[in-house]
Amino acid sequence: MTPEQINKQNENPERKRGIDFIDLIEKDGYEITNYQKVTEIAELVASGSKETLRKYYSLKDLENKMGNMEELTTDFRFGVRDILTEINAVVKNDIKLLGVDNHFDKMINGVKSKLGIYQAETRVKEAEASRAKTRAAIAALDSNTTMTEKAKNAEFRRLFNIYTGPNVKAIENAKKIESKQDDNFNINLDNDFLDKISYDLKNMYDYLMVSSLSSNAKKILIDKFNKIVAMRNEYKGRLNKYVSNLSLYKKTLSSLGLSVAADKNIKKSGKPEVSINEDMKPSEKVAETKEVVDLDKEPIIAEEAGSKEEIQNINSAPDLEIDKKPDYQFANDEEKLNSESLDSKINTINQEEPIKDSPNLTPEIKPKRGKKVIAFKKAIGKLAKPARLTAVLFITGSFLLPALGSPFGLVAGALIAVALEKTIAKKKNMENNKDRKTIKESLFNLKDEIVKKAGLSIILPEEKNELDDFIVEIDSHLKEELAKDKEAELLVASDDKLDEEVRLAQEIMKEDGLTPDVAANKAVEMQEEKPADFKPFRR
Amino acid sequence: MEIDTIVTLEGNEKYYLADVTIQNDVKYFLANKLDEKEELTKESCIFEEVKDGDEIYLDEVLDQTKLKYITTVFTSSLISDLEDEINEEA
Repeated sequence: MTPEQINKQNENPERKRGIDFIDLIEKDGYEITNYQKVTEIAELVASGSKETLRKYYSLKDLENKMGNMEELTTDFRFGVRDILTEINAVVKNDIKLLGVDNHFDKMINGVKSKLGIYQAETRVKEAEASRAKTRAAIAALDSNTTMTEKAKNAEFRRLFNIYTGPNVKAIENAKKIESKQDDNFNINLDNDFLDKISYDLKNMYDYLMVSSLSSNAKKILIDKFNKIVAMRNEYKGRLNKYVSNLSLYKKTLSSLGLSVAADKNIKKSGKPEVSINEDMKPSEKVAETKEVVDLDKEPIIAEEAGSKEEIQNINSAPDLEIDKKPDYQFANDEEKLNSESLDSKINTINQEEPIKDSPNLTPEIKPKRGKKVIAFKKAIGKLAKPARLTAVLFITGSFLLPALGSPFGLVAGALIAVALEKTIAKKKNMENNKDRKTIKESLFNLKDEIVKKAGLSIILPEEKNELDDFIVEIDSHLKEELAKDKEAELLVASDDKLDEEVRLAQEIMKEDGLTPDVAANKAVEMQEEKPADFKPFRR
Repeated sequence: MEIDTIVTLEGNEKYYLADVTIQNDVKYFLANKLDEKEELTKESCIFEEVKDGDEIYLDEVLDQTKLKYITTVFTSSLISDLEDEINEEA
């Protein structure tokens, strides 16, 4: 622009405002899609219409308000992953795992797979195992006598290509996923999808709640599922806000005759997905990492690339469908009936199964009846007492070993065991001594197990203190018992020595003709002349 | 089903029913698993008796709250019996 032009422009501020507005549109990364409309708006701006300018600036405001949906989605997915991992740990570490089988694994991995969060560790292991398999296949070539040298050479090149290329890449990608750097995920985490995930979670929740898991584990699980519900609700709220803002953003853009330029940073306004590497179809089989090379198939890199291209096409799928109904469309009435929201279900179950201090032992309708008694007979012999003792100790012991159980319950169980031990200690016969020995051994084992399990358990600091106190208590009790045993041994030893004194006194009386008192004193004197560590017992 | 009985369950699992308690009209057995020679093993559990017509089922109690309660009953009973024996000996 020449000085003359500048001067001319300055003479016409309206014109300057119009040109500045067009410059601003370009600078902000928008493209004009409707020249006629933009001209009209520029004219309004040039005439000093603040309302029009405000409308334009509201665009930028909306961009900021929408935030980074991609980041929000990733946080949600990985937040759910963390809780699912905790749920898995609760289920797997419960002391009474009976009844919770592979079906649970399929359910949890199914949800993880849908969310693109299928166990990263599994991916890494799978990828590493795949590479090890390639290496083994290379090693096997040395001893292969069925292939010609030429064929071997070709096979080696093929395997080596896999070993140093796709195998390594698969491990790298798996590790990226593990460290939450995964952005290869393309699901529209919209309300529909959230409802479907909620439905799966609800099924998982129902399955666990009617399983044979301990009530303590169920209590923890309710808390975990509630956390997921809260997380989902928060995400849903932000998603709805995002969708609403996006709708307004699009309308505003359209009313201004603009669109977003291709090179504009679309993170703030774009869809929350990038690409895909998870099997999104709900399946009984857990989705496998695509990058893990299957040696049984030809490692055609071009095909892999082709599939990635296809993946890229998915990226260009429409943005979130803002006009779509937020409610999940049920396949049929039955599905609708079964798909109450997870949170309402949890509330219902909470009402149905309150965690009580004193249990309700009212007979309940059970999904299973246990095992059928196919034969029975009266026992021969006296099994009852040792059987009762063993059983009580074993079951009490099971309370002492819950990987995730309450250490308070654990201490209570230990105290029962100690009470038993003390009661039995009052008995004096040999059978009783055997029982005492059994109990002591059991207590030692329990203590070791508790220490071992405590290291693996999720224990709160105050619970840890309680556990430490218990270990100290049980230790001290055991030492006390051992001391009693030692004292008893000493008593026996002393009795032996007394017998020796009596025998000696009798010999002296017989040989020297002394009175019993004098003979006894002489016998004691003779005993005292023995080594210093020998102390004769006196009644 | 009574105590001091050896029961064979589906899967040929054998248990010795060492003690019994009835709570809310439901029978619970303290049971020890037996080996092939019908000797006691350390493994034990509490069964709930479930009757279905003429058939009897033993359902292992796994609910922790219930398990703790029933175990307490059996433990108290055992301690009480031992105390009685001690008194008789004295």
